[in-house]
Amino acid sequence: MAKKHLVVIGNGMAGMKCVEEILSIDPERFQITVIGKEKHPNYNRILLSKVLQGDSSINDIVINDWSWYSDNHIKLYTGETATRIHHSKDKVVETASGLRIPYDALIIATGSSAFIPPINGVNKSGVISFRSIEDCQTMMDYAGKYRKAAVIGGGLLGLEAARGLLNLGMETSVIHNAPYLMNRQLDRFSAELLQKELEEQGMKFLLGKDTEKIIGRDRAKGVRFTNGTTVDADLVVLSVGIRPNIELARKSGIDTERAILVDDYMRTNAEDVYALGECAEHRGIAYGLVAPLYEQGRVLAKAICGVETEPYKGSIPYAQLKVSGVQVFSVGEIGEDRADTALQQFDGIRNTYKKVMMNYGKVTGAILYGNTDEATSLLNLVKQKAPVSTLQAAASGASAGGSVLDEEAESMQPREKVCACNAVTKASIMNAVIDGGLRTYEQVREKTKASSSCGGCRPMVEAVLKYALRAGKDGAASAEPPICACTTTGHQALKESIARQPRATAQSIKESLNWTNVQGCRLCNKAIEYYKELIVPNFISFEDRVPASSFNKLSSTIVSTEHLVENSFYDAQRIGSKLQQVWNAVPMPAPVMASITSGPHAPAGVLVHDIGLTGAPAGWELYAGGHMEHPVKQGQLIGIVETDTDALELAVSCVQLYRESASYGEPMWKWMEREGITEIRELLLDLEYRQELVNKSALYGEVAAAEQRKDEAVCRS
Amino acid sequence: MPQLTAERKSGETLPVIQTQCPYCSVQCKMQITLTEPPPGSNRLTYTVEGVANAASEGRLCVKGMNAHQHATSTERLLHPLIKRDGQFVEATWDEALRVIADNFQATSAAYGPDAIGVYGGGSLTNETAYLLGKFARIALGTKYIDYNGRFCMSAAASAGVKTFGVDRGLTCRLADIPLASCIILAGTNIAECQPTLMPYFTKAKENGATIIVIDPRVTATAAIADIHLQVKPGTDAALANGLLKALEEEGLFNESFIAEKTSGFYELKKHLSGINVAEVAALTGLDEADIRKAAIAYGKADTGIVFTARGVEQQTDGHMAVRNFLNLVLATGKIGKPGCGYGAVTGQGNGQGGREHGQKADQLPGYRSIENENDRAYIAKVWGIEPERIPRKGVSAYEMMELVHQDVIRSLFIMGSNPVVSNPNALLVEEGLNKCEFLVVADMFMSETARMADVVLPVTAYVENEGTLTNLEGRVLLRPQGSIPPEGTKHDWRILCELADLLGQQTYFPFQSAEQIFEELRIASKGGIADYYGITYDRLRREGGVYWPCPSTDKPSSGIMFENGFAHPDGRAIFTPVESRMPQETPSAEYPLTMTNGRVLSHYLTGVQTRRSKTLAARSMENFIELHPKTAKQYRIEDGEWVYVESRRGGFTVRSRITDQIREDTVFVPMHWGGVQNVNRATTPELDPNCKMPGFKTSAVSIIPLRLKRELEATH
Repeated sequence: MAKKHLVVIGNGMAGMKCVEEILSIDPERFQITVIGKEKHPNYNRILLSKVLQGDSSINDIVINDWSWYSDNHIKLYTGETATRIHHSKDKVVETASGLRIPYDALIIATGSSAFIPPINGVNKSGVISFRSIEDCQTMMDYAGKYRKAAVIGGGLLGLEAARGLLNLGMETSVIHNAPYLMNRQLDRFSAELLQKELEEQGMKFLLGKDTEKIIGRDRAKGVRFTNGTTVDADLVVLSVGIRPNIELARKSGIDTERAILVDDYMRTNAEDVYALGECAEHRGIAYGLVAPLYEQGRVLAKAICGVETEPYKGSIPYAQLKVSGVQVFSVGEIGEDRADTALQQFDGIRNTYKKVMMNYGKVTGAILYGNTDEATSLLNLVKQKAPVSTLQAAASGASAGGSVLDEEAESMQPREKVCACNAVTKASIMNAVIDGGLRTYEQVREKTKASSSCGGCRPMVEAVLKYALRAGKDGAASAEPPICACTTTGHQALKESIARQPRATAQSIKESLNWTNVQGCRLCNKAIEYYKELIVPNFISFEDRVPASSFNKLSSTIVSTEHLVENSFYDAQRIGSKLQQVWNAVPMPAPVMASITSGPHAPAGVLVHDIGLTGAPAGWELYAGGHMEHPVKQGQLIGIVETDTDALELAVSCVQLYRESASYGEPMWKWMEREGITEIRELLLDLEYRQELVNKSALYGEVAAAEQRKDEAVCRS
Repeated sequence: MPQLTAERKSGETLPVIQTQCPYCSVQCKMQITLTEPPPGSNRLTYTVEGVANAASEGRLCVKGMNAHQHATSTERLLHPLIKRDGQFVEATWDEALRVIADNFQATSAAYGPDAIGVYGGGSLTNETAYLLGKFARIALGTKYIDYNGRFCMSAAASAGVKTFGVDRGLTCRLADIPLASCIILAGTNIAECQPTLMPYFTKAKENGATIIVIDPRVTATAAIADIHLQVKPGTDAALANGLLKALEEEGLFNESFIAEKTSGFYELKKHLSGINVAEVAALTGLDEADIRKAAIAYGKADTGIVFTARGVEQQTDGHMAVRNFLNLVLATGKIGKPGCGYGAVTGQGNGQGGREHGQKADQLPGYRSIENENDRAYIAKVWGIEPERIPRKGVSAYEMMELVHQDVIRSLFIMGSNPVVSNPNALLVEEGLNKCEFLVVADMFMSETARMADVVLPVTAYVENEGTLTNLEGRVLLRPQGSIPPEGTKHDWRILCELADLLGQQTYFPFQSAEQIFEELRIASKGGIADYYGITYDRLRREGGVYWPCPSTDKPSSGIMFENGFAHPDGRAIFTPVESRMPQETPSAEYPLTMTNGRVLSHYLTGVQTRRSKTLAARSMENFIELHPKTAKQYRIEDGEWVYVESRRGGFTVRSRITDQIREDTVFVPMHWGGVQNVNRATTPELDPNCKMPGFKTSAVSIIPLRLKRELEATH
């Protein structure tokens, strides 16, 4: 029997997701033809903001490249527009270029366009929307020529566009008609936190402003508001909403309201014609977010392949802002007129905010700002309409009930040990579950050995398993974040690249790693200098050497002067001046403050300095990772050693390890939280490795300092 | 055979080493693969995997997984060291051994052979332990030999001998644990000390067993208990009386078993008539109802096993306390059949084997008595000497330290032990060893004791030294040599042979391999209580492990003891009445708290090995004192601050760890650290009169924050 012919109108995320699902169910079922208006293969529209922000290249965001279509025998027409659907007798799609494509089944996935508000001047050049690769290109071109940009619309997309324009070097104002940003997803409090953060990043805001017209003769020169004020702008980006693309359906006689009407199996009123994504309206809702269209795609694929499936019952919309340095998450009902506040927490120290909404005792919505670690679990609670008591248990932390463990499992660092006996980390359990497809506790125990010795950690192993099943790949070690907006490269990747070609110039490094902004910014240029210096130290000269003075340094050292009190074996002065000799010359990833004292009788803040050394009953104790500014951190014990030499070596090796494994700009406390105190101790307690680290550091000391140069310690105590 | 630190050659098959964990009494088998270092690094890496055997079932704990780290440590001693003018200088083996032999000969000539002492350890193989006993008695001619296993096993061992007529760690197999309907774990923290055994207990629990834990702390083991009796330290004998009385009142004694298999019941019954459960509850600090609940759970269960360990045993009434738990076993008839029995959970890797073959002051190989003429004659024949040449019994481990302090023992030879940290009353031991005229220490590392030595001899590591070890069940396991020792080190047994040679006793020490020593041990143990005659290296390789007693090379050995009666001549086990006693050292106004000690998961014994393992040390860097929040408040102690702990013997300084998982009248301090952190500076040297076990587990102490102590001292 000849294959049936499936035609998909729309080459975007919704349509191709559905095609992928169909191929995975029954690759032989259909001969597939795709008609796409854009000239690209299917790309991830959501990540356009990343391209604009310079964090991804266009190639990075392509989901299905050209070969995917040919590999799956899909006939693809790009740059082609469907103009009419004949669905009553012929079952044929007509296109603008005159093609007539017959179908047995048809999927309309035409998506949406930017909503162009009816204001004067929107047709001027320099006024664009932010929907496609072409829009991105236009924005980049303008950034090369002009200085000022305005974005109309303070929603998710508008803010992402504005952040991208900032990265492109434009002065950017965001114009929003509501009194606060992202007013559909956030409450006023979180919106103001967001606004403050973005203002610090350089964004300007004009809130509660209604745009009257775009001014300028032939091209945009600014925006005038109804109150008569204006703002200058050479580029105006419209981002006030979306409009489902339904003209084709409507003029072909398919039922539409706000969008194309579909039932719970994504069927339109026309036989064998389906619709999904942003062009479809299900139970009165046309979604504008990604998760629903994936869920719709799965149902549609099964329905079209004749596989039994649960009906699509609608989605819980959620949004996550993709702006570097800002974590914002919102899900479900958040308006206070429609739900009550179940939980509201603001942590002014960490600058995090969490609000959960409820209705009739069920969790209905949530907002997270600053830390979105709980996004997955909250999303699930909303989806499950979980009773608010679940939250209560978690919030009080009192009962050792499942939810507390679950939270712990989720917030655990990947390298933290779940099973102490067999030294099994959270990451290894997560990987075993996700990659190995494990489902049960017994399988995890068998595979990873976690809890196979004393079994005491079984509840935690089960909680991590649950978390792994819930969170999937997203929960596992996430990809390295980019160094800055100039590139998608992360610190580790940069470091590795420099290690491979230690003598390459900064410029060629950036080029070889496809920096989107090859000039770089202060953040990435400094990082490159630092890593180059780390790998080939400055005193071994190379061409584009950087003056040693420009690096982060030991910024201050407190050496307790009250050193030789009665009963103290510890000479803080001596060891302090030796350490300074070594460290004064050493470039650091971030400024380092040290404190050395012979003991608690001469307090010197050992626990709140990056490095602290103190005499103690059992020997010298070395602490690291303390921080006395915001956020205040308590230093952690690295080791206890008996002799001055061991103390020097332990301290020097700890700082050297930090230098080698921290990212540039990463303070010691943060590095320790990332690497884990146990892991750091383990490395430094390996005496051979400690010696290696000491030797590397000693080079600096030798080069920089004359042998016995007596202490020029900055004594403050 | 590779060296553990061999360079990995890319493209070649990675060497795999078969070995056995050097730590606790489970003796888990494992294999170490010498893996290729990660790219860009030349640090050596290893993959360690458990290998299934009958005890460990392929499990390993964090200690075993990282045992290779101390064996590959750069702190390994690779030259003999001789102290000259207070400084260690490297020496050749010839020099070092010559210095030792000369001293021993001179000491012996001047003061007699008993002026030399020999001190062994529970981590030594059966072969080395056997040879050390022979070396002391024949090559040196001294009666003074004992070993650190005294602190580990002597109470339970002597109790087993008295009650059953024989002492083997477990009277049943580990495999019986899941068959038990009720399990009593008295003073044993298996979850941290023998973690790989825990699944046996969780399996029992899954099968519906009731688990009763007796411990002053809510340990990781107590966490699985159905009934946790959070007893006052040192009152275990009284608690057992309460359990017995409750059983009697409930009519849960097994009359027929008592009549057929035991003697001494009448005396016990008379004794119980004076016991009142409510009084026991008051003495032990427990609820009467809980004691009754536990008694009924054990009494009504059709099968059950009682385990004891150091909590019960390291008391000055440890011997009698264990016997009272054995009364419990006998009174309910829960022994000699599957799912039933008693177990002393040995702490050290070869705590069991180490005591069976002559390392103990009063014993000769095969668990023979050094004071029994027939035993003496038999061993003399095996050794080819006159019985008179075998010295009589010496003294126990701590008593030897006292003799050192009193200058009775003038030269001391220590092998595989760190007595300055592990003995009670450590300050006195330190003082003694400091003034000891000649101290030799054979160790892998510069331990706290080795630092004080005149000569230090570097020995090989577990993975390099072949030999047999007997696990807690009484199962003999062969640990093969897996790697070539680093140059400069020597097997402990070879050191003994070479010293014997220099002392002119080579005839008795002709051994060229561990197996040759084992062959002699087989014959020496033949017909003894711990009969190893039927065990050969070949058989161990073939069968994986063999239980003793094993008199025949072709008959299987049995895991379950006493199926057909006990080892006393009349085949009966013996009841004995045991007094309810207050702890040896009751708190006073000056020393108001009771201190107990124990282990943590990441460390073993005095930590000489585990503190040199980066992974283990990283998890547990320093010692601490565990105390209840109310106690902390009363003594003005903040969490995490330095605390000075003092007893009548001395004091030490550790950091506080405040937790409500301990009794308010009790503090707990681990035993793995030396120096100022050494808990044993404060422990009591009072010994159990029956077995010479020191009362480590109950010392009256005072506690004060170090800052306040300094403050007080400053103003005076």
